[in-house]
Amino acid sequence: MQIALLGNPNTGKTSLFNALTNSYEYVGNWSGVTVEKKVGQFVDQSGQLIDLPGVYSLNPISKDETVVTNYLLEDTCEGLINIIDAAQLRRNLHLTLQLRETGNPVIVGLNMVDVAKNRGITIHTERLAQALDLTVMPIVARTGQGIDMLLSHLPELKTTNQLGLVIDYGAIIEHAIAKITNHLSQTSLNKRWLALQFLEGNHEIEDYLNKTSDITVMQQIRLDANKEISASSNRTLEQVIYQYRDQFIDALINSTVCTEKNQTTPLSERIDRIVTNRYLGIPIFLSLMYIMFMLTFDWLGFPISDLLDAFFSGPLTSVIQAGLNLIGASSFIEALIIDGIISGVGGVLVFVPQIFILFFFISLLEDSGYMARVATVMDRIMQSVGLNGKAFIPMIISFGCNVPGVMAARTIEQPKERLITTLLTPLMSCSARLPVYALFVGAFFSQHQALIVLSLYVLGVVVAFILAFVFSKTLFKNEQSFFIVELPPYRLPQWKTLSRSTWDKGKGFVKKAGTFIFAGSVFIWLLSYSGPGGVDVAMDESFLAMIGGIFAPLLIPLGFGTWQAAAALLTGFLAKEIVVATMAIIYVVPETGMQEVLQQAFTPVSAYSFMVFILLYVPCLATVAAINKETQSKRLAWFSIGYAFILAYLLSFIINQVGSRII
Amino acid sequence: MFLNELKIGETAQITNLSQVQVLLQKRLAHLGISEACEVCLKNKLPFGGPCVIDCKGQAVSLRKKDICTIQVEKSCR
Repeated sequence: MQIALLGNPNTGKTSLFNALTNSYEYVGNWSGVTVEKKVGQFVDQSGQLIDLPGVYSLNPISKDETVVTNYLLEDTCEGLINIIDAAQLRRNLHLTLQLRETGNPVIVGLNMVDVAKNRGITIHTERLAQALDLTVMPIVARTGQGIDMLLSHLPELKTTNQLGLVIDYGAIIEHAIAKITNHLSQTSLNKRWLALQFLEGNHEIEDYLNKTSDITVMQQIRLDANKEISASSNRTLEQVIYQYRDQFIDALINSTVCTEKNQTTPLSERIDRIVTNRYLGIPIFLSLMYIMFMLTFDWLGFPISDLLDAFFSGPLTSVIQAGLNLIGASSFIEALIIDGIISGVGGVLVFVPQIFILFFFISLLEDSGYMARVATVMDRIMQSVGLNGKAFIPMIISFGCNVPGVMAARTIEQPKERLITTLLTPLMSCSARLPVYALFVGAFFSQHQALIVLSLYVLGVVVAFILAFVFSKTLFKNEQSFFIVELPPYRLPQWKTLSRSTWDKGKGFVKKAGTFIFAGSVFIWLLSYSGPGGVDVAMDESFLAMIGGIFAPLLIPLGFGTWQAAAALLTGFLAKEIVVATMAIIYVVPETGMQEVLQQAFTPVSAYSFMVFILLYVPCLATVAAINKETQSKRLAWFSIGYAFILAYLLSFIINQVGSRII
Repeated sequence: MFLNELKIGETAQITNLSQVQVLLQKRLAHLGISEACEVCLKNKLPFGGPCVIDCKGQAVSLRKKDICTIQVEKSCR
């Protein structure tokens, strides 16, 4: 049994998904194929649930919304669960009507009945169910109330004989529907629904129909209908269809909903008076970011990472060494495991706690409803650089990982602003770059660790803003811009949702350490262990030194023209964590720590220059792939590599040249 | 009058949305904000930043320049 979950944004869809399923995976992976389609197993193992992005209507405006329409057109499922916010019934029912028109069996989960009750709204679910010819289950997804009942009704979807809902749209539209359905070629989809959506001007439907039918005739029918409609009512076809649905809903609500006036000010409104306050809004946001940052790096993150580091380089290494001696492993195997794998993979795994703390806070921001406020508070500043307040959300997500950041840019409605945001999110310092900073600040700036790392994060944001301004003025033509964002009520984040989404984001990092970085470490170690002179050569005569040596002269003006730095940067294109893994292998010296060795190879100025270079130079492979997929353009993917490299080179050059003269 | 002329906390009824840019009109419709709805201006951010409006118990933020195109009439009550 395969069932899809749909609903408006902010209706508790994620809570319901988590309550209905116990294990789930993304279809596709970090390389960024289809993160948007999430599949889960029902708790009673009866089938699969597909989580689709939140939409208001099947006629999409922004890019993430097209996913839903395309799912209904191209995938087959046995039924739909439509989650409805009981407190916003009228708006939610617009989607429900459209879903019922598709002819797919629908079951409604009427969510947040408790919130609605508190606002004085009582809904007669039986009457609602009767009028819509479907099952309506009152639920509270956050607490799990009603979930069992909803689950037990799901098997009915397969056998139910629901016909597509038919609303009378008036003579002109009904006539046009009849004409269009005549022209449609054979299809398993509901023809009336296709015709209606086509008349509404749904581009996804139009593209779909264009593949099988001749749409010029249908376009003419639509044009005629539009003329006729606007002559009689001065409105567009789309508006009139909306109006008919609204009237239908009006009647429905009149017969099913009782509302009592409730005079208390909701808590969300009281919080908003402070956090979106004229004067306090931005300071509050910056303080929250600062606290999140300090917890990740200073107060909580560094101490835990240090403990882990001590464990890896101390007890773990000696235990494995003893074990290897016991089984009599050859010196080659021993070197491979100790110097290659433990140094390389361990060097990255040390940062897992910090990365999880960071992801935890990003999930917290996403779940609480604060992100929409951030977009509001930041809109004025973003507007002045040619972007949109919503563009700030992908940027915050990018602090965790650039790939979901790039994808989050989909929610921005205007193509130009979406494109610029997509191109600039890689400038946000992701968690994979964090190990590099941590290593270098520990070696060179132990007095001001957090401050130096903070300066890099801020640099990324400032550079992105400047470039946004430049790009929006030069490369991309201006188009009309607007900003609209719904401020959902604040919700106390739930532990289950929070831990799931933190794990979800963080597991990619752990997985990468086990696969990509493991393989990379072995490969790099082999390159450093062998050379033209055979195996077990001195590091400076290895293949790795030769390869790094080719590029090293290029980096001399930047202050780190060594083959070691060049080799680390080269591997960093695959994934930025590998930079640390590579350095851990290159600079491994049994007696002294890595930090002492680094202090001989870099000066504080060249170390900072190196960190800036790491921050800005080329997005990692997965991010480039995501940009390529999102923009559908190889040229833009190359552009994202090119501009970042030039930028990194210029800035590092300035920092090193100016810095080394001052200090 | 237009929505931006309201003072913070004042309520009015939307009378005309046709001057609003088309995509935004669609989005407003998605959110259930249409003509004849009551709206309340909740907040104005400084330096010509966005405004927060409340309609049917949901809060939405919009840019000042867009709010200037929403025609409203103050309720008589």
